[in-house]
Amino acid sequence: MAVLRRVLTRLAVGIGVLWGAATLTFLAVYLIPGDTALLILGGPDARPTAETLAQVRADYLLDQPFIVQYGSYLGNLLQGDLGQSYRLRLPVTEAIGQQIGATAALAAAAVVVALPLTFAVAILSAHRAPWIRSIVSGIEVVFAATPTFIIGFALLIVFSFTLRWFPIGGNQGPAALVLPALTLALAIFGTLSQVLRNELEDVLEQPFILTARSRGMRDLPVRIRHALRHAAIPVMTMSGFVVAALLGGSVVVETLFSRQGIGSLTLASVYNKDLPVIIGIVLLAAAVYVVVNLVIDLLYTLIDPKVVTA
Amino acid sequence: MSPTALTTPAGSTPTTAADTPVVELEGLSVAFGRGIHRREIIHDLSLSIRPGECLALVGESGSGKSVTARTLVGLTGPGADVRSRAQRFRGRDASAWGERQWTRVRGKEAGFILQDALSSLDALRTVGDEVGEVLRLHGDLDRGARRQRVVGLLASVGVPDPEVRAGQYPHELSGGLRQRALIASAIAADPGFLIADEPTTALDATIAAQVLRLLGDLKGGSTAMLVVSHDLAVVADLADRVAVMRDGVIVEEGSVQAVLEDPRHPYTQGLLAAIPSRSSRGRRLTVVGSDQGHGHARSQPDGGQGIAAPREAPTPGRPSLTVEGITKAFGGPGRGRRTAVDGVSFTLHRGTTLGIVGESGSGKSTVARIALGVEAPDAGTVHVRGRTWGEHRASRDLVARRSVQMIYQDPLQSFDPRKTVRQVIGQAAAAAGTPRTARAGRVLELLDLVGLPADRARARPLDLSGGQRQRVAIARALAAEPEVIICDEPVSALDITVQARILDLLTDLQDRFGLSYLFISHDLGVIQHISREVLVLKDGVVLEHGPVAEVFDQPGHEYTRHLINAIPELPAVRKDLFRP
Repeated sequence: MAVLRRVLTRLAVGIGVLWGAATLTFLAVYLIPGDTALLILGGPDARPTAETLAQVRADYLLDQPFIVQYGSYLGNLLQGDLGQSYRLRLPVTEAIGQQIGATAALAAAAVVVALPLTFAVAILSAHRAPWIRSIVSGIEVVFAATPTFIIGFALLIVFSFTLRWFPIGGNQGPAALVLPALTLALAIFGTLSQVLRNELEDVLEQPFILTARSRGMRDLPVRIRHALRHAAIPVMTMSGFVVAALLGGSVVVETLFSRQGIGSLTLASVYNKDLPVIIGIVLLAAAVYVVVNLVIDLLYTLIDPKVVTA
Repeated sequence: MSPTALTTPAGSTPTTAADTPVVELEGLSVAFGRGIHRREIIHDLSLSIRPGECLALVGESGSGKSVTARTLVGLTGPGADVRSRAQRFRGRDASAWGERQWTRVRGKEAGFILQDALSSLDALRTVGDEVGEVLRLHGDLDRGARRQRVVGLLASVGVPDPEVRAGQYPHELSGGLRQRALIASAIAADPGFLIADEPTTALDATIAAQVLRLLGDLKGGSTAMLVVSHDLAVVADLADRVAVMRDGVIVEEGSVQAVLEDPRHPYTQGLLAAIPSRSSRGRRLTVVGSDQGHGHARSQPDGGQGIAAPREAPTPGRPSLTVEGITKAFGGPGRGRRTAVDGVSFTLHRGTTLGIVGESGSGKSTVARIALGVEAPDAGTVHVRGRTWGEHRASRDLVARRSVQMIYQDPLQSFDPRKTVRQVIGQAAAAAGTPRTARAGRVLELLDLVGLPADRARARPLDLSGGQRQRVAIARALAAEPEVIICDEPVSALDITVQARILDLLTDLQDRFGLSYLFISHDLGVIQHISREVLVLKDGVVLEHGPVAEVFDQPGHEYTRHLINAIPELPAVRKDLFRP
């Protein structure tokens, strides 16, 4: 019951966030200088006639007051209509739909690599001899601090140009996914692993860890069965930000490895001032963020009994 | 694995097995750190515990008692350098055991009970899972059988509704029940050897007494027990033998009777003398010559003579603080509202001490905050020096406000960690109106009053020991030249000998300046030692109020009797002990 109420509250908040994102993007577009009708017709180079321009303004309600435009925008959104891409001459939903699969695969692959790596490294290195910790933590800092495109380049040079194990780019087959996914995964690992190890080290100092060991539990089971759940809570909070970063990271990675996906779509749309697509992507990002945080919130209730009763 | 006949010639024969000590340590030394950071904290320590015997390891913080206890089950800690001439567990040579061997022993042959069960139980797992873990690790019971056994264990340690409790989380249980659950997890595999490290320290007196009784029940038969405590009184009933530790060395060891009735070592004598109680009223708690401490307090007229003539009970002067019918409720309107203080009245007379006792949640601290004037009561009044809190704008009460000061259980939290002692006290002096030019001198004067050397003025709170911090807190309170000091558990976090020095200091200052103390404590021994009158609070209501002797001799209320019975009693301590 408490859990249900919690979920409903969060859901309501999430809808509020989406509405806010939609409104802000609309405002941004509305306030951007320049003639939207001209953009729709292909920019100033298209040299449209005055009649065509007027026609477009009437079609897109651009001659109406702000509140009418905003109302029709929200109304269309509610029906799932994000409008037409100026550039692709496609409904925005379709344009995004074509690309989302590739990016989802990339993000999923990155998470699948990053999480086990993070947990394994943090669990094994927490509270160990100082030299082990310095080495591991040094590596993590390098991954966390190096810009994604440099990690990607390094991987390309080693595994594509030199060893020729993986293709340089493209979307063909799972082999093409390895290096992009690894690039994203290493950046995630570098950040999360440090957080997780610090948390684990705090938890391992707690008296209940001593109690568990005094029962005859071995070190590794103590870390996994007792310490990990406690340490995972702040890491989960971080994961929300990581997912948001994944979208940004995919822009870089997809460009670098010349992959199809939301990242490259974003980039192309920004170059061409394809506003409906940009709005669509912003809303998609907001939606993903809301959903991920909702899921994390539910996971809290699974991990920490106090969240439910509180 | 089996010991060779050479190393343990008679260890395996059944006739001597019953006499074989459960644990034996010979010449143990433990050091932490490497190189120049290496510090040895246990020096050449030997002990042994036989089946059915209970040894108490008593000492103050930093004496190494917990480290010794943990070493007995191979849990000294990471980075510890443990050496011994011999370490045996049930006759087996354990000196070279690694993690693999110890994990077989821990839980199965040795149970470990830590203090503060809230942090000693995994907060994210149910109590039943925690207790059942031992059975999972060391038994071959299936899930259902384990669950039944867990319920049985919880019932056996006196947890009511064990089926329900097993499914709850530690934060849903009271402190006493948590401690019982922790004990259940330690005895789950019937280990035959129990280590209890400060098993009652975090508990209210009545709950602590129950837990001690439970441990006493477990002791019977062949179970050996090691109790680690800072409190001699706690272990007196439970233990057969006592070992007093100080700075990593056992300074005195013997039967409980021998050590408590005829302590040989000056440190033990000092420890016993430092215990505040009814019989310590009017005498100093610090034995002269036995211990460190700061010169000033002892140079008082009556201070140099140990217990010279008992201090005359100060004759009560005019009222310093009058509290009339204060009531305070917290929380929102409706069902969530909880009355913390309900119609409390008392008068604190000049130069006397009024003790307030009660268990956690009884409203003691709320009374203190209202008396201090930082919390407004819903009803009732507080008069100080002819003024009433809340009657005027706060600025007009300034002089009256200065005359009521407060010291806390943990002074560290009331200091700005970046400020030096000089700044902390100087600020208080400035607030009290000491002119800028006179401040430096005033700080030194105050430091001297509380027995701190002048060079401590440059220290920061984190560099000070617990006792020194409390002295700084007292100096800060004195800076305003108050008439009333509200002491909220001022010695509860301190070691017993430090507590003794602070209590002596408070008594000296009272004599000298005619201070009135509103003294809050959960420790009835401290209250009986220092107070003239006592107020028993329960659920925000005053159950009893009267002179200490009256209330403690003829408690008019069942609850008070309950509290008094929970005081751990030392067997008759020799009365002549404290003469020089």
